[in-house]
Amino acid sequence: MSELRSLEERKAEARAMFVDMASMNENDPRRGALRDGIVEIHLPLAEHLARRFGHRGEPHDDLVQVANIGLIKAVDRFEIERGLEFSTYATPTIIGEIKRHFRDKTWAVRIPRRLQELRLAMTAANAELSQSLSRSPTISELAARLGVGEDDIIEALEAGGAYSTVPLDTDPDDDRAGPSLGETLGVEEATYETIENIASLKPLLADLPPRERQILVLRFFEGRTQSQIATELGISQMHVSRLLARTLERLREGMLATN
Amino acid sequence: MSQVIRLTVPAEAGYLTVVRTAAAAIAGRLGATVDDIEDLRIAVNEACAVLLTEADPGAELACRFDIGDGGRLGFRVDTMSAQGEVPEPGSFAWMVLESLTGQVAVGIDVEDGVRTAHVSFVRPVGVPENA
Repeated sequence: MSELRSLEERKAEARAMFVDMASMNENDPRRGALRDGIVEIHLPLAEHLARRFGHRGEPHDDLVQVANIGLIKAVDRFEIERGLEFSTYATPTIIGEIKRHFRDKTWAVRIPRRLQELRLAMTAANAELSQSLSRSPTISELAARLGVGEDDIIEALEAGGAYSTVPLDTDPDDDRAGPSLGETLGVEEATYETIENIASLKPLLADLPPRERQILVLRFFEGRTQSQIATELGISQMHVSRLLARTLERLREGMLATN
Repeated sequence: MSQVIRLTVPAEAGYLTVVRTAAAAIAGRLGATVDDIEDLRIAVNEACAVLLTEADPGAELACRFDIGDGGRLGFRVDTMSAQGEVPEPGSFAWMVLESLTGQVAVGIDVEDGVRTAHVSFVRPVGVPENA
């Protein structure tokens, strides 16, 4: 019974198949069967990794499929001569495939194009109105400016939140080199220490990108409004909102994982 | 005169979008700004999310919005929880809620042998002066 074979046995079997494959000519018809066999042995690994990225709004089956594609890529690229264990090589490849899926496809798949466009227009209108009104606009003001219904605005706000589509990587523009948390906060370091004292948060905060951490501190511990933070950091208020929601989600997941 | 909106959803993360959207729509009706709405949405999400993990299997989140006088919006979420905990003052979830809303309350009730946990807050969502 293949299910009853131990992990070690399956690993050894995969290793032998890789060795066989390496000894064959590129066009050897037997390669296909070996490749399938190796993939099949590692399907549980792909499934396991896909599960780790569940609860982010993507159907489980889709994630497993993406993970399987990553697995196949790993099989094709793996070079047994390097002496690495296949699972060691495959894990980052599969995770990379899943992350790419979230980055490239999630937004487009889940958010209708109409909402994406409205969302972009709304970000611009929000900035303009905030400027002219010297405060954050209301839903009806945004709706009037854009010539859409208030329901559309509410829908677009929700669509823009990071709640159901949590990107696993930070946006490229999040990586802009900026002042560190300490530099930015200066005398406000004490507040940071307060949150650091919540033991379970410590390692999670340390893992946050500096800007996410800074926004978190400014909003929740310094009492700045989202608009104020946006102005201070030179990003849109919508972006602040999205980063906040995403950071909370991330911390919550992290705390659950450590509990 | 105050008005009440009740909304019950399965205690699953996927349904929080329904609660958040309701929160945004209610605040929008009250003339709240986008800033207020986004804060409210995060607060509602946080209050519900902390109970999700405590809810009994198959339980529901019973949400209640109270539109009070003077642009104050109350939110309370209850769920059946045989053994769950609610966030303690000083915990991260508490600090997040407090900073977003200013007024947080949590509690465990036992009635007729049924144990429920709740989180609630009140938040001003006033109409801006120059609206």
